[in-house]
Amino acid sequence: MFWLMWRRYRPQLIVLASLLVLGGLVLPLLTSLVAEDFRTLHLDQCAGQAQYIGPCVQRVQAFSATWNFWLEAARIGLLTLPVLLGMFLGAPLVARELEQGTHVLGFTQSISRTRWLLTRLAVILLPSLLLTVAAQWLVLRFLLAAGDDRGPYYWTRFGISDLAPASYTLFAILLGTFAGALLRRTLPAMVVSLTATVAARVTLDALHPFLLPRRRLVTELGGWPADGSLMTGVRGYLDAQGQVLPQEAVTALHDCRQAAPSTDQWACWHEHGAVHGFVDVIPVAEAGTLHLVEASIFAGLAVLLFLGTIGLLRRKV
Amino acid sequence: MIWVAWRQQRAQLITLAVVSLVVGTALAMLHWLMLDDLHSAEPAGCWIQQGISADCRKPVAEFQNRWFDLMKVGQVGIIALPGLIGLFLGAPMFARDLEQGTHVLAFTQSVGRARWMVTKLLVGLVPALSMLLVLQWLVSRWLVSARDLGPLITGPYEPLTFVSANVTPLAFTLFVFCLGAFLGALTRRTLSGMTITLGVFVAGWAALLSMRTVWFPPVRVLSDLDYSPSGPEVVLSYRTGYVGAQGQEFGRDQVNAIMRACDQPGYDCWRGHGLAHQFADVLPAADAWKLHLVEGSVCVALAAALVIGTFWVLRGRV
Repeated sequence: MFWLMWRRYRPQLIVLASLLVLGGLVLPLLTSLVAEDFRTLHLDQCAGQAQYIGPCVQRVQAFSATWNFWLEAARIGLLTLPVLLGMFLGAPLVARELEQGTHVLGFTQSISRTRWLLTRLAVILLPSLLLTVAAQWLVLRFLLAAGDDRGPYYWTRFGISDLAPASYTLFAILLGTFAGALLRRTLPAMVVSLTATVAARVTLDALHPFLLPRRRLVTELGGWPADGSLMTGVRGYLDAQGQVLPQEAVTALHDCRQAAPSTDQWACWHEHGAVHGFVDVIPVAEAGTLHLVEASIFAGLAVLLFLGTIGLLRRKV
Repeated sequence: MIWVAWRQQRAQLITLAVVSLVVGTALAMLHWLMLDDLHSAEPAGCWIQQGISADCRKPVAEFQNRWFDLMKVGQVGIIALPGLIGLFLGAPMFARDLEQGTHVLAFTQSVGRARWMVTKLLVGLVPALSMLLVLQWLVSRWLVSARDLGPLITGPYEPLTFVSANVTPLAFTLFVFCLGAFLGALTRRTLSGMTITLGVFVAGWAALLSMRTVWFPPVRVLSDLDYSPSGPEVVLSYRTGYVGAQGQEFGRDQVNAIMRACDQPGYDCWRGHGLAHQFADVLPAADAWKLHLVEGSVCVALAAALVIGTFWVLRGRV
């Protein structure tokens, strides 16, 4: 059975292996180059300093002129890898057999349809997951060597760290398989797989602030938490007793802006009762939990899609 | 013939129309919402190039938090579009006929293969290019209205901005589409054609970006040691480094040695070692259109060669 699978999916597996080898050669090379540049430009001294003021300006600029493109490309590459795997490996997995009628041969053999699907999935899924995790490791090492640190919730960072890439790949491939079994045509299945994977990712990204309990951060008036916590969009002002200022009072604050010159703005705000600002955030330390929750959602969806695919194949004559 | 070509690609073309409509409406709405945000809230009047005052820092940061990445996503969309068009319209164009054997019917009609090919290509290409132009126009209108609070602040050569502006997306779409058609005809398999098209598409963007310094000679800009020569990177930088008082260039190893020797703040020690100026070999921002034109022409020429190649492959097919 496995020999048959190897013969059937040889081109796909060779492409995956080539990608792995290519990444394994290029990314460590880039990593060592970027690390050397980082050292010779003494950028470690610039960490935490304002990037556009002071003596670090030239060095940071020289560094980003050379590397920004490569760093961005590595991020985007890793973000899109699961989508592409779902589209090119997941969608044709069942669709091609159904389209060309070769499933009839498989279905009339001594093995069950569930096993028929499981073997195919395993042959595609395991190498894909391996590639994803290897690529993730290589890309993160590259980004780390370049001193990349935008906080765990920044959207290009969240999607490439922790469990995210592997769970995206699992979900994308099963979604593609399901779309293929449903539509029975490769090309439409690929389109649907692409669109639905992107839509699912965007939706879940937007749901991040609602997946974990929030914590209230109290700030100075006009202050701004800059530690990279995930903003939930809930914010406002507190009065001297620590009570949330009602909406009418907040509207009244706008008059301060128009009436007073900017210097005694905050005094005017105090008069209107606003003493502190607050934002509801999900703290940086919770990033691991959020990854766990998101990965569980994707894994759950993947199981549902797998069951759906089995159901569709059982009914197919 | 046009009717046949339309019938064969109906699903793709209808999808294309629906996607254009949805995305176009979304872009127009985003543009409108952003303008509203810009005018109703504080950032109006806080244009960065006039210098950010302390009052402006927070509204500008909040505005950019809301919109900057979204605008970048718009640019990425325009960059991905040629790939999607080449993959889903270009690659299956002849590959599907050849894979399913339906080309036999087409080849045995009174219509010549050249006409069959050209009609099919045009029926796919004209709507695809129109869609691209409309969406690109919507995105650029949106980005321009954010002025220097949006991604355009980094100048026309910033990779995402460069490949999503001017004639480059159009010419590149033409290239990727013809490439997909050619690879489909050559491999006779939709999936293989699509996979190779995707690979070349990615390599093509990298080539467009990395070959930008090939076409025009740079201009050398000198500046003081303590002041960056190019400012914010609005120019296309070929090379930067240091020169002495007579204009002689210092090698990278020499400069590194000097930097290691001088660890006190200030630049007197650097001057003592003979460094007088920083230099940058750049292409000015005003020349961006020339670069677009040259690279666009290369894409169009490649597309023409691919059309000829496709015809040659199809003619040899029995």
